[in-house]
Amino acid sequence: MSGIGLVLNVAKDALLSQQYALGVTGHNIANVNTEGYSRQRVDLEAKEAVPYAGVLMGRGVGVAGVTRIADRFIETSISERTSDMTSLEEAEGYMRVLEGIFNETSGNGLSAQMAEFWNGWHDLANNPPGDPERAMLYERGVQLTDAFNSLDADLAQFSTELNLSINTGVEEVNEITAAIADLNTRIVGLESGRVANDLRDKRTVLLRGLSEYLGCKSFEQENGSVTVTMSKGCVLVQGNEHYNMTTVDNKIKLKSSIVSEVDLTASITGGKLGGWLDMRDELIPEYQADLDASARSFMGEVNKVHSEGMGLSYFDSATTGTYTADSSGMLSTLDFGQGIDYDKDLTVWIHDSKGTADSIDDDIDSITIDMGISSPQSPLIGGAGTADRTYRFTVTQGGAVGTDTQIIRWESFDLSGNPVANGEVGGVPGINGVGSYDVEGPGPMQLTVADGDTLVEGNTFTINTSDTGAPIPLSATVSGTGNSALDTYVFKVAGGGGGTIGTDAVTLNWSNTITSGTIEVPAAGGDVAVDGMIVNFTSGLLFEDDTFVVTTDSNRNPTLTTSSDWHWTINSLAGQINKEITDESLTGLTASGATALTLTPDSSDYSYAFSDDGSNVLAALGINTFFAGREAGTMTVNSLLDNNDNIAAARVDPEGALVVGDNSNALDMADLQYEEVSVAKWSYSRGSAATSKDVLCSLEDYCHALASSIGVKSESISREKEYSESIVNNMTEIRNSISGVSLDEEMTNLIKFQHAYVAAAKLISVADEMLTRLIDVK
Amino acid sequence: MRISTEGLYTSIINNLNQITEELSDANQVVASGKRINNLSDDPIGINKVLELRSSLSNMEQLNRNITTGRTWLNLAESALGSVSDLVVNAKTLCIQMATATVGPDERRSAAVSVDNFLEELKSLANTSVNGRYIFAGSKTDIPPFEIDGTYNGDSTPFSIKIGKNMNIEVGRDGETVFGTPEVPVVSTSEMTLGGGTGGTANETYTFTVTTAGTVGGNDAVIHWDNSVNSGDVSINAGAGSYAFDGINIDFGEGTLVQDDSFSLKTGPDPLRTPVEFSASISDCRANMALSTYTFTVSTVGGGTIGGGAINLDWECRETQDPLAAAVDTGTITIPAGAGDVTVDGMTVNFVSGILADGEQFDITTDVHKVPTLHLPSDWQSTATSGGEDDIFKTLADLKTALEADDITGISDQMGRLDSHLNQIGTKISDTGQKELRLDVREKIMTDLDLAYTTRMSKLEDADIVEALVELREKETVYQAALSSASKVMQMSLVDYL
Repeated sequence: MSGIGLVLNVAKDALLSQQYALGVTGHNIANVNTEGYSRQRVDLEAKEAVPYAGVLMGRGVGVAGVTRIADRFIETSISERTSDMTSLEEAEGYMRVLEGIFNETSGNGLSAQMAEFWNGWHDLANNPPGDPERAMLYERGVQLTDAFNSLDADLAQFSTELNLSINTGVEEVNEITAAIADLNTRIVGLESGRVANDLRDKRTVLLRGLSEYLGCKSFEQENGSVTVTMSKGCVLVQGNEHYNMTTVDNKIKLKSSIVSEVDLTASITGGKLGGWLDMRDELIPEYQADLDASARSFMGEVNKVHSEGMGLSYFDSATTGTYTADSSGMLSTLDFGQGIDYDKDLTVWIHDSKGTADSIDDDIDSITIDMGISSPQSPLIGGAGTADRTYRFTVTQGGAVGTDTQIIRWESFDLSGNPVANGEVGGVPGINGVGSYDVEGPGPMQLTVADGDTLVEGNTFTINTSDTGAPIPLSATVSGTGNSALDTYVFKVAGGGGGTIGTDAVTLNWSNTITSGTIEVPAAGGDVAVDGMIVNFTSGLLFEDDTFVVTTDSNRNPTLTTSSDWHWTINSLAGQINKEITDESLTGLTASGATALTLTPDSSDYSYAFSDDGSNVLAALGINTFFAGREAGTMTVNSLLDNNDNIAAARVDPEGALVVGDNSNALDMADLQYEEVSVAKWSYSRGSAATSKDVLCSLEDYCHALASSIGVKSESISREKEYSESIVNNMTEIRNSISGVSLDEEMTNLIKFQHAYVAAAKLISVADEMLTRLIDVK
Repeated sequence: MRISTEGLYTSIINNLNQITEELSDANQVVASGKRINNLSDDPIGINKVLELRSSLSNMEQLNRNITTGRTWLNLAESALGSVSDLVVNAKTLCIQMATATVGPDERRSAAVSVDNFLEELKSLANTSVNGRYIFAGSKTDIPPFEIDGTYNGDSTPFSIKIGKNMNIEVGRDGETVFGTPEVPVVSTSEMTLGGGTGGTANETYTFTVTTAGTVGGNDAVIHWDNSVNSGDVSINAGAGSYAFDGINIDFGEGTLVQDDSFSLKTGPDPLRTPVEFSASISDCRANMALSTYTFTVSTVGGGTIGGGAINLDWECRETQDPLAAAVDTGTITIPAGAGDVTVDGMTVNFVSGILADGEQFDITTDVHKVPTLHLPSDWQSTATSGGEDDIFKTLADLKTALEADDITGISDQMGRLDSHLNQIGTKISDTGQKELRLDVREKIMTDLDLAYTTRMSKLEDADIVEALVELREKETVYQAALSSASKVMQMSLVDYL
């Protein structure tokens, strides 16, 4: 090629290259505000020289490519840190709202309402018969329950909102992963010796978007596609494939072709989803459980004191307990059955002519119920009764074996629960000394009593017989510690789940105050784990709906009581009350009920009252209590108090009188505010069972501590968020410093390339002149 | 470092956001005057604030209770004052009418005024506050007294709460006020140590009246015992000296009340001299009213008054509130030669006695701060004795006697009226003590209220000067940031091309 041609060619290439460079600079300027855009640079290179006239002659400039200036390490770090930040941002937002809900700083919070409630009792103590004081106290009780109810409702609302957010978040994640998979396909297709700069920027933005929803990691493959994984090694995107997450029953699951469906609810950390899940599964339930615990303790303690007193007059109409036991009727299955003290008594008064309690005369009489439990607690049953029966034994005449005569009544029921036979153990005269006494059947079935045994009237137990008539009580031990302190775990044989332990698998449903579940006793019996405890089943014949309970103490140590141990049921208590009334040659009051106790005066001439209930059985039954309900959400003022006269400021005096100016119960109630009571403190952790411990503090202090703990949590989340925000800001600054477009820089480049372009154009005109001159020579 | 255009703008936005947030916080502190506006502002502080707030609300309530209590007590005091006046008037009438110069007509017309006294007494005994009878025990809804003195109330006085587990009775069991007077009785026979040699050395002898009687009568018996021996001595030979295990004690004329007791100590062998713990208080006033000063021997091994010096610790408590913390404490030393010791405004003259280490005795003060010394060698008594009849009966009897012109009958009532006067007087002073106790509680509450409010304010309220300085500082920073940002944003190379 001739020299001039070369010059022209060089000029042409230069012109085109500079024009290309101007184009890229323009692209940079245009995208100065585009999110995630990384600046691009034209790589110009000198073309390979060719030998000409003995020398190697340069052939001008060429465009080698367009490079995207980005640091993958920084981009990945930003994504990861963004997860932390958004997680904390969400948590912070919700904590701010929580702080508002629990705002005690304004003086209208829960503890202020409690203080008002106690003050109401002081005022009532100052004027026990006063109608305004009673009405005011009632109102304050209602306001306090409203405060508990609305806090509970607010927390529940939170959970609902969080569920919605989580569902939306999961859909969002699925859309993002789909888009990433799509970009993977396009990038792999476009890149063959080239780099798809803008698509990669787009993908980086999407990856960061994904990180905003959950903590994840991305790896670039050799072919340019990225693989996105998250906790538990689950793959969200691989090549052109993406795997959708689903929400089922508030659980987040991932179904991929590689692994079977995995539950990710407990393992998603970081990102908005992580933040929401932390709130929904850790913080909110914890505050809710603590709120419930304080409501429970509050109701329990107030009810205990309230049921010891009486209103202005005896009750003249039927009262039914607001708390119900389960179908077994065992007192320990009552919501507040844990608080019953079986070493104490209860006194019931009956007034046999309707009138005010002031006209006290001989018409008032009392009965006392000994709420004790027979010893030993597990009665000894042997021999063989009728096959396939449930036998129920009830002590109708108690006393110490060897000194008195005791009578135990037995009843048998067939598998459908129909009564079949009944009688008295040992027949007439009953149990009159150490030995074994016949019940019935071919064996016959026998009850054995030993020296030192005590039988308490009204105690009862049941036992099932096998198809050979052998009585098989449940034999089980419990070890470990329950997760919930001072609680009652009620175990109940599920529908169709009965059988003989050691032969059949038995299904049991269990529940305590905050949670419930189902366990399967293997056919061979043995250990079964329940909420932190291990129940070891040795033997036993269990029919459908058979019940046993495990109670935990303040150290969470469990104790198991079966229905084949001596215990009280609502039915046996009602029977005992009726028996005592008859024994004392009284009339006028009838007790009844299977799952809730009802006391009914026989006619309008009779009225009744209670006193000296050291056993707290009335509080557990929900009779003559201030509050009804079992937790913060269901707490209400007992409808009994709709008649304000029933607010118990007084106590029945030893003669059975109710004195109008007596304020002894109100004074005791007012003292309750200073008393340290035991309240459960819960701690929740995602992925493991919640546990409670027992703390001793005044009820108001507990509320203060609850508010304070919300403040502490909120403060620490805010601080962490600020920290992680500053890291993300710093990294973004570094990223911008590397990849961001600088207009000043681009303007300079613009001038630079413009000048080069002008110069190249000049070269063409010079070559043109050279050619013209050459042609003119002819 | 290379700064990109986006980086520049982002950092301006971030910085402005941060400064605005700080400015807003500073402004909230100034505007609300509170340092703590959200739970997270100071979670530990808020816990304390809430506790203080509960305590304050409780104290406000307790103050209201005290006000209620005071209403009851004031009313009781004035009613009892009127009753006291009424009894005095009745007694004056009694004295006038018992003289022979008064004729039957005048007595008959006096009977009418006694009738008026009875009516007035009934209405005073049925004094009520807001419809609630204060002398009815807990049966506050029905008038407790009928004109013949029948009591319809009960024996549980109405109480109010003045603190944690602390109740005070502000109502009264009317029976104790207007019923048959129950007066504390102490043996009146004065005993003097007459020397002798005790049977056992270094021993405490306790003497108890096991059979009541009159010195000079025939059947009073005093039982003595120490840790080794015991015995009974009949006081059947009139006033004079009786020997108890070698110790001679002179009993003066007077009564010996069942279960009254006193004690003595004996010195070392060989004399085993019985020593009476003897001390007196000169006419003076203590610094604290209605209090009990308890003295405890703190010298190891104790000592003999008049021998070596004996150290005593003392503590002063409200008599009504023996379990509360001591109001004041101190130590005194009985000098080696016995004599006067000054304690909290009182001068006690110690004469003789043997004191064991840890041994206690006390001084009580009445409402006028007049001290009374209680020593083991004085009669210790818990007995009370019922008077003859209730005040209604006495007045009714007086009326009958006046109508019957029965001078003996009239003068018989004078003694009974005196015992009623005493009975009412005790209740008036007891009411005064209770009012004083309420005053003390109220004073404590006022002090605590101030202390708590101050502490709460310190925790919760903003230091307004500091807050304003902070706000000003944030404003300055904000202005500077705005100004620099606006300048930076205006500049671009484009403008120069």
